[in-house]
Amino acid sequence: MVRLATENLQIAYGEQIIVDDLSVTIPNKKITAIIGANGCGKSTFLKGMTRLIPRHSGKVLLDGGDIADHKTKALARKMAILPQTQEAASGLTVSELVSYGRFPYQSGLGRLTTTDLEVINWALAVTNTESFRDRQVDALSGGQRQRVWIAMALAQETDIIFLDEPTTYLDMAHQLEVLELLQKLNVEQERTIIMVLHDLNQAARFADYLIAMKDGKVIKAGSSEEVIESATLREVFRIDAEIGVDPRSGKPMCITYDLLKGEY
Amino acid sequence: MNLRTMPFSIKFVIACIGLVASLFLAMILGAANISVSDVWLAIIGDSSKNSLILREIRFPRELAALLVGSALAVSGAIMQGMTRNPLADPGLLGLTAGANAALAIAIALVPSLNYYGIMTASFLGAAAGALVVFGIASAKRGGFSPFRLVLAGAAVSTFFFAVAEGVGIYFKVSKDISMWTAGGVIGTTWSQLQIITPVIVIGIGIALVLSKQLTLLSLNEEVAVGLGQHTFRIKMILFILIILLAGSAVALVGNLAFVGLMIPHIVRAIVGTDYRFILPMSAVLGGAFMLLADTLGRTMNAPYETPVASLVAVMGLPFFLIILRKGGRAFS
Repeated sequence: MVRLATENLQIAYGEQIIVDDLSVTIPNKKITAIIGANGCGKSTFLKGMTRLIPRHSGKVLLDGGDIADHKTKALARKMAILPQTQEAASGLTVSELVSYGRFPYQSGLGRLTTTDLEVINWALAVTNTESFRDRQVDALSGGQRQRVWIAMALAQETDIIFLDEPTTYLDMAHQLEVLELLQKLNVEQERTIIMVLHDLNQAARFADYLIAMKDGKVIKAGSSEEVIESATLREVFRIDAEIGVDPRSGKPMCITYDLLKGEY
Repeated sequence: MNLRTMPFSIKFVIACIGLVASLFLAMILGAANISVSDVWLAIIGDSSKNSLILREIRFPRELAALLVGSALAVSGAIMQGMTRNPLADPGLLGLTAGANAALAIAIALVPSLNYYGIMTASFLGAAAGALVVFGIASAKRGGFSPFRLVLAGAAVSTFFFAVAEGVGIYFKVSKDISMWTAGGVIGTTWSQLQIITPVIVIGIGIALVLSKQLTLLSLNEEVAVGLGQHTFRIKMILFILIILLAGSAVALVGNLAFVGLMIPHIVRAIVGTDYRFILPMSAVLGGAFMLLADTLGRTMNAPYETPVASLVAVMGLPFFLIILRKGGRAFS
């Protein structure tokens, strides 16, 4: 069943077209990773799919209807978005921040109901952030903070979760921690996860479906075996890559690479 | 129990007691020799000379101080939250200067302007000032950076003040204008208060209802959209509230910078960063602050008035510099 897809999506900043005529179908209950070089429009594509930025033309379909026709609060009960820049949470504690995930379910002054509190506790437990629930978000380490923001997105109780480079600025162990958490959410709770990833090998290892972009267009989409191969990487990243198989996960991985000859 | 763990309700009650105490001090201290019993007599409707002074001069004046302080503090807090800019203040971002210029033009064109006219001019001018400043600042991506906004505010304010001066001189109405814009609550009458009180009270009331939305907006705009906030609609409403609150303050007292900057910063140090707590606390402490400042202005060199705007500026400028030096994070 298809729940989320784009049709001829075009996004522009002024005259400059960033995402051009993009039609993709996001597989349901899978992890999708969008990859591409800097400035290829992958983040813009994610923002366009989640109404964070207006589109120029085309459609983003969710459950058969365009997301523009959804009420924004109703949409927030179907899809959660974790933007890339989580600047200072300015003094909020972990549980306070996570409680904002209940915003789409609240009206008026927004008192938390018992259900809200249960969901918040559950989100804290799943992300393993319970032990510092009363600490200030700004005082946490990068990895802890990222998990807290994911907990907020989880508290939204959506089937679909978008993340823009969730592992940027984290060290290796913390990157894995975040990706394994997302994998667990996908496997155990069948959540659809769509994320922009910087690291090719992480994308190959964790995503079921990869979308490789260049200049606002999709160059190739498919399983990691289909996308992580030298011709695609040559075109998308302009690298000459040596592809092998990850001995642990059995997924393709880029072992080493060089710049393309004659390109600077 | 330290400040961090104390529940908000207790802090708020203490602040309210502080406000009542300030009001009390403001009533009994002053050029005329007034005692506590005089204040009581005046309230219950006595007709002695002291009671008349109190009822017709000091009560409205102190009520005006309270309202202006609350309005400026709340509008400053909203601006800071909305723009995520710690240096936002209606006086620094062109609202006050815009209102001033509009007042000058209005008085020059219609010398017999009534108080509704004065107020409307203030609102329109505040809106114009804010729009120009925000417009300049947002002409470039990432334009709401503290420094760009303050620079734009300074430039636009200078321009609007020059317009006000020029209009005053050309139409020979400088004296009339300065009566409105000198930055004090002296001479406030009950009839003015009757018009302005509802605007400020309702403005603050709506702001309180939207306080949770403001916290969300202050976190990150993309997060707010993702959580289903109508950010554009909320920002428009908040913008109108800022105009109403700052505009009413100008209509009552004229120029008064720094109150909207200082109070929310002090409040943040006390209640944290949730606007559900910041806004009510700013209203109370802003009111108390202006009452005390006005009382100080009346008494420090009695029977002469020390302009309250100067007093506030003397306190506000060092405060501004501290916030600037700490990159906007002082006291929060």
